[in-house]
Amino acid sequence: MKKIPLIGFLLLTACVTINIYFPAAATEKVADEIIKGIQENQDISPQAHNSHRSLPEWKVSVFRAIDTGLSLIISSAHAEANLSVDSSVIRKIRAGMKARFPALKSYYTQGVLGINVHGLLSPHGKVPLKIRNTVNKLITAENNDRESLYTAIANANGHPEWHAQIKATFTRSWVKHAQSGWWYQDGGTWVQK
Amino acid sequence: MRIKQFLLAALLLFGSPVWAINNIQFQVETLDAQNWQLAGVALTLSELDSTPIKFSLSAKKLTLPAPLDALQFFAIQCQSFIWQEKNIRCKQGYAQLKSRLFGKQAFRFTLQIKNKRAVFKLSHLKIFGGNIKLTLQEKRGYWTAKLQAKKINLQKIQKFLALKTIDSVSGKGTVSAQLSGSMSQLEQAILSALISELSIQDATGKLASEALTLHSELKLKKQGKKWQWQIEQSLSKGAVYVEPVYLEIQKKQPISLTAAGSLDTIHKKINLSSAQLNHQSIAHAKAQAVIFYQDSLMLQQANIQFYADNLAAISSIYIAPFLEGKPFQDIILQGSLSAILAIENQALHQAHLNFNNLHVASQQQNLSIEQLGGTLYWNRLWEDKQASNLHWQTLNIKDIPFAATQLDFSLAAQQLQLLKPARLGLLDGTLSIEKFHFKSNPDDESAVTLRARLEQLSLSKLSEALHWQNTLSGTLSGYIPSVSYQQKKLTLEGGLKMQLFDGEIRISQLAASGLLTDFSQFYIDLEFENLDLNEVTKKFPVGRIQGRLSGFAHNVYLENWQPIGFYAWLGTPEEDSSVHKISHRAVRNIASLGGSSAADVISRGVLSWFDDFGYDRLGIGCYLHQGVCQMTGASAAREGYYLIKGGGIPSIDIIGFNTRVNWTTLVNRLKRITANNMVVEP
Repeated sequence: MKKIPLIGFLLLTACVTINIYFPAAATEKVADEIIKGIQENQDISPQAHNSHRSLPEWKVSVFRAIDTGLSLIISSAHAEANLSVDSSVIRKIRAGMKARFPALKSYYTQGVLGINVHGLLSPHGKVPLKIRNTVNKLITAENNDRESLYTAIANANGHPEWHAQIKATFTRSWVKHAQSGWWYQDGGTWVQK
Repeated sequence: MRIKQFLLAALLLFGSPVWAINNIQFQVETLDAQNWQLAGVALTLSELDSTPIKFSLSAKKLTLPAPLDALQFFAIQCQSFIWQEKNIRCKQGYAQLKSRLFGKQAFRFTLQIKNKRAVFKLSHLKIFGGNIKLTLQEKRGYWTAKLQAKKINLQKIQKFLALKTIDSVSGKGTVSAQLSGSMSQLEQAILSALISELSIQDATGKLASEALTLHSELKLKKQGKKWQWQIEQSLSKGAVYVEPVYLEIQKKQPISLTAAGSLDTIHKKINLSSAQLNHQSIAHAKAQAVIFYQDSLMLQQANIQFYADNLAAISSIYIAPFLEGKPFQDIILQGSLSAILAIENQALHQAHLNFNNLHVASQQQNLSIEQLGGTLYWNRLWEDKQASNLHWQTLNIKDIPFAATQLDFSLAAQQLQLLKPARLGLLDGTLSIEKFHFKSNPDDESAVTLRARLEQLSLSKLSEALHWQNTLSGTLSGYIPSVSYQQKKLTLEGGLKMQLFDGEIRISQLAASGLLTDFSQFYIDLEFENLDLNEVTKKFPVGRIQGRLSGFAHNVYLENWQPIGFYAWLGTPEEDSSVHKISHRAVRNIASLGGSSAADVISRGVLSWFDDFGYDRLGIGCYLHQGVCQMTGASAAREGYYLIKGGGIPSIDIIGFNTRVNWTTLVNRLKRITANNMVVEP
């Protein structure tokens, strides 16, 4: 019987699987930063994000490769990646949301729309006919952008399956950043902040 | 008839009394005839000694045949009942109605059957909060019915009907109907309704009104196997929302619709012989159409003539809602236009628009057109195209003025083709469009063919138009042999040349996308050749420099006109024999760009005795990526790069040591240099 050398045995047992877990804390930080950027007239150009610059693409690739390649090996370890939010697609979506925010803010304040349980916008109460089309269009465009943003962030980080978690994190942040007087849904019930 | 026989028998039995009787009453449990039933009938004869004898009739319940079996009448009383030969009359009838539809309601009625003419009148019937009057007449099989329902509460109707498609409704309605026919056939109908304070919202929220006053009249008349019909409708007050259009109806600007035509129920065809829609002082339209309604409505053919008297109102009421959230959402149109539209098989087949002296403006897109006129012909088939034209007196795009001109083109299917070359006066030069053809493919990339030439555009006029701080002198020319449009990105082949600063700037690889959106992307390659630095530094006050400048900026990518990435280098050209001199101020400013200060060095000691310094080469380069500039210079130095490599007497070297500079920082330094015309501290 062929003997396994001791060092080889140790190497085998020492192998770890690095699973890239959803970076909840980083996502929350990014969500706060993006929402602030949209609501507080902050710059969204790439250079403004140096302090939170994304994980470089090569690093993401390496993590992914490690994750895939070592997943068969015995023990596992948890690794939480950073979250990349710097891509042309994301900047484009953020620019659209930022441009839309002043109009939305006015309707948030009037109480004709609010944040629903999914972190999307919904009409709140009966929207006056005079502004109904504008409000509906804004809601549709904003909701499309929010969904696209979550998809783009998930894709930019090589994990399309993170979409739901990113959305859930953003949902909490939208409510957190809602200003006094705005409406949001808490467990399906409308509440005024 | 059983009731009549019964009554006659009763009269014979008691017709000759031998003692004084004042009242006689006959009671019958049920009377049946032709599917109707009268139960608990009592006929009372009173004041028998007077003439005529008074009759009164009562019944506990009247059940009618289907489909009227949903109505049940109770406590029927007729205080004044006359029964004579050929004349039966009930003058003061009272009854109660009970039905699933109306609940329990009391009403008054009269009935007269005389000379084969029957008249039934019903009044004081309260249904849905309103007052109902009904008159029915019948003679020899020909009948008429008049119904008047006043102040019907629409909220009560909705509460009763519980229509799921309606979210809420309120308002009052007065309805009148005049129907006539023969036997069971309806032959003529006139229906009229006045709805006031109508506030309604459907379940989707896409259809709603507020305090609307609506008057509607429908006339129907059977002619042979067809029905002739006529409709008149008017909206005179309130507001209406039909997504996306919101309309406040002013008293002076009511909306009315009159239409007439025929209805063929055998072939399920509606022939709209004439229709007129009039929005007072704003627009009016006329139409003829043929519509089938077999399974769903199918517009087989229609001709519509549309006249817009007040385009300003039309654009704000009818056009702007469709542009909400789109690039030209704030567009304002003023003037008038007419249009003729032909529809075949539910699709627009032809359109002809005619307009003159239009004013078009969009503040958001910085666009204005004065005295825009033209004739547009559009056809669904490219082979049936006709010549169209557009002309204007003044056109300003992004504050760049285009001289008055006319464009001749064909517009059909999803294509637009210039019929003859167009020359547009632009910035003291010309833009010649030699060829243009656009073909939209909904399922694929759109195809664009363009051949254009720019000739001698004035850069000073351009600087003026774009409100640049520094007015450039020189010209811009170029040739664009073709363009491509892929993935919403427009790319121009060929290039432009700017004769500027006694040198030349060549522009190529021009591409753009989303220019009208909140996120424009712009791509460009630039080549700088032999620019006179003396001229450049006169326009951009970084300090006086003599010499020549060449270089490039490749893969320049801008988002919302902000640089995101490029690779650029500008410096002294090879084998440049011009005078190379640089001033104190320029030295300090260039040094500060590299992040160091030369102020102390050159303002003290021997160097401070000289106004200018000689240099061999100068140069600065940047590779911008992710907000950071990777810096290079004229040549490599031991621990950095030469921004200025000295030469002659006195000479000075400026070496940059920061190889990575934040782009925002660099731009801020440049801005301060050019804005303050002062040396900046790092």
